[in-house]
Amino acid sequence: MNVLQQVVNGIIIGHAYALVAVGWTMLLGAARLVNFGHGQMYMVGAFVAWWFMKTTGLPYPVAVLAAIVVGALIGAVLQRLLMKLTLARDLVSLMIVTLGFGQMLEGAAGLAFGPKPQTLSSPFQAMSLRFGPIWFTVQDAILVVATIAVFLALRYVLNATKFGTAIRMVAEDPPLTRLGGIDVSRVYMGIFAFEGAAVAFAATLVAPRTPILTSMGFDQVVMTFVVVVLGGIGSVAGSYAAGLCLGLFTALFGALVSPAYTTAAVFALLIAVMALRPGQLAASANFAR
Amino acid sequence: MSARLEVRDLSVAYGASRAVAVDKLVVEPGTLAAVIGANGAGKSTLVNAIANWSRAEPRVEGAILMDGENIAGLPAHHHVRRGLQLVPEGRGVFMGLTVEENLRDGAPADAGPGRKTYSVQNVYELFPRLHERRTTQGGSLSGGERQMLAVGRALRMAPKVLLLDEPSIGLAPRLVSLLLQTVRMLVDSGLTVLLVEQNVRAVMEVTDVVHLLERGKVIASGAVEAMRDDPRIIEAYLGGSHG
Repeated sequence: MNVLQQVVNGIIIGHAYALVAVGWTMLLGAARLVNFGHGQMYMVGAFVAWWFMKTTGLPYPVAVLAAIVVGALIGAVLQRLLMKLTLARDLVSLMIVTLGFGQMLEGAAGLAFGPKPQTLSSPFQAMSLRFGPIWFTVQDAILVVATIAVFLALRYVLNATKFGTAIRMVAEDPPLTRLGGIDVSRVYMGIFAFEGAAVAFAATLVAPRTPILTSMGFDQVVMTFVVVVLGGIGSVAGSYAAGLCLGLFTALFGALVSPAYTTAAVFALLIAVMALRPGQLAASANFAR
Repeated sequence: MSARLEVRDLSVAYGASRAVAVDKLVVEPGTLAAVIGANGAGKSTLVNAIANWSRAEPRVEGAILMDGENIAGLPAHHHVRRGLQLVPEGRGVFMGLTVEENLRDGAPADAGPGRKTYSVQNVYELFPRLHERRTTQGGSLSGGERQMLAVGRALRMAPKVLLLDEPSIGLAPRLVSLLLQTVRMLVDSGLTVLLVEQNVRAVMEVTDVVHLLERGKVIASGAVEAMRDDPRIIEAYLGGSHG
């Protein structure tokens, strides 16, 4: 077997994990909120892009943009619906309500898009690059570059812009943020819209790798949760590193041990990490770093 | 001409218990008014209610007039945008942001008539210590530096009226007088300040007007010269030793 190829696969999968998780990382880091409908928002992103290409005949990049817009809208609507819970940071209720929201999205998607597996076809999926023993698609390369770009952009926004500063203020102390003349509920809305847009963007880049199903959301939320927790809840750089490590772990474990037990192994890893450093589960004030 | 800030029939309650019931409290433009009173008299509750801000969820009724316009009930961030600025007691800065980041975003330069804008540089001139500490995170500052930063943050919002809640709490006496002298200087340059303080002796040195709050009610008000001789204040707050 080709270890180098597995490492490359791991890096690609890792970037996919990180990109899918980035919205939730923001949500958790900045707003101290959870969204267990995240996986279904991923699924909707993929299906919106697919449906958009099918009905309009427009090319893949335009469908990516359409999915991002719809994702941002879903995020904003979710925030409006959950306004009271978000302002009170009522985590247990949010967990249950967002889980329900995800189920509603899944049901609605099932009705709208049908039960059959579909293919979100990207022209870049068919183009491959080969360097000696290793091989990957242009789609994979785009995914990796886009993920790095999103994380760098996020870091810049959080540390160097007015809105980013407002997000970090809300993360630390929402009441005090109001005394800076900032409308806290708007900041929350921006965070939710970012989450929706980011997960939809991730879906359009990742989904062409495999067939898409309206029931695929839950697997995504599970992996995302692992990435966010391993990264040290809500840390932007941490979740990038965690996504990458998790990708390498699943690729190598799948190749060296058995692909059938990968998910179980990931959870064993998660439990081990949580048991060894429970203090890290508390959200950190320095999530922007 | 109307007062800069006027509070009318203000009532604040937490659940069933009423914490504040103030019929009238007026602050004239360009003056420093102090609210003094014992612990639990409702001083913080009063200024928080004026700013319509709280970490708890009080029920607030009454009128808050700024330059004659009733702004009661507007969200706290709207008060800030109109120039009514609170510096809350205790946690007034962001621990995870550096001094510079805490000060970076302020009101626009043309905030409106009667509002003096302070640049970050102006704040550093006012509190040189903050300039030395500009790359330090809020969480690593001393108590005095945090209070300076909290006041600096407030000034960046170009306030017309500054509500200061216990700025001296936990500070060494030298810092208390330094901070209050700075506040006095700001008032002399045109700012209107309502100051809540427990350190009555220090307040008497700088304030123009004193309001004595007891069990949520203003029981005496007047110019500092007159209030200095008020037996209730001498007995309860100045230890009777005031000459």
